[in-house]
Amino acid sequence: MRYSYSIAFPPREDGSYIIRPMVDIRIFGPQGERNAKALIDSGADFSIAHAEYAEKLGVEKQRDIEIVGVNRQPLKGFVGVMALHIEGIPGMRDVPFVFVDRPSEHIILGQEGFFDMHQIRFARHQRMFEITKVRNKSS
Amino acid sequence: MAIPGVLARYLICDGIYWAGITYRFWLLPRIDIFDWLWRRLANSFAHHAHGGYNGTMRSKTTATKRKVVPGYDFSYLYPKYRGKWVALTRDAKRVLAVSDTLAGLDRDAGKALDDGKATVYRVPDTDAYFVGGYALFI
Repeated sequence: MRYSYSIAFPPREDGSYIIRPMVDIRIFGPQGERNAKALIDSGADFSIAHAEYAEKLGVEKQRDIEIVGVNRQPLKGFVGVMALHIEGIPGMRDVPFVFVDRPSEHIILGQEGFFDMHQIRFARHQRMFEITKVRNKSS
Repeated sequence: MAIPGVLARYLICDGIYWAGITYRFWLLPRIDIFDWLWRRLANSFAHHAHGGYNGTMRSKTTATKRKVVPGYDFSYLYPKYRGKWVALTRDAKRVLAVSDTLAGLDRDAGKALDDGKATVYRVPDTDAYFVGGYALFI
């Protein structure tokens, strides 16, 4: 399925836009489900979500983990699994997410559990990206 | 100067003759002309089936009818809702609720979120370029 990039901000001074590859997702936990917008991020080793999602959806903590971003500040979180559905491609069960309690974090779909199960082709010059499911289980 | 009819017919026949000789003894040993033609035809078909140059040439095959899920325009949310959690309609065109926290959003638009009629988005707290990526600390 092909998706268009989303516009994140009003145009900059030079008239350019910041566009990002974002998709509409539905996440499922034992106690509920939620729609959200998620960023496809090939630079992230893991998928990341805000810790409040885990609380709201009843996701169980599997283990603690520490992650680090470009600012090199370690961020504590925990790993849990959720089911994930993206419009146009088959849903996935038991997708590992790192839940972090930092206000600025929303949802990022990263390598482990997402990129390793899909073929993702970015065509930014066409403002488009394509996601095709290729595997059923992550390695 | 007009070419006499006899000479014209000779030149035409001679041209066909040498074209035949060239095809049979030079071109044919080098390429399989029918294979080449078939490849050109298949290639051309695939090209148009996938939308032609830049996908602008529309074909009536299923390949070009592939749906493209539209992106969203979140630009109207910034800077008004900078750093806030917002509950949006599914098409992201209307704001249903705003909060500083995800829990607050649940309080204000919980029903729409539970029913799947709303979606959650966090408006970035800065319009700086985002250099994403998280590595694991093992």
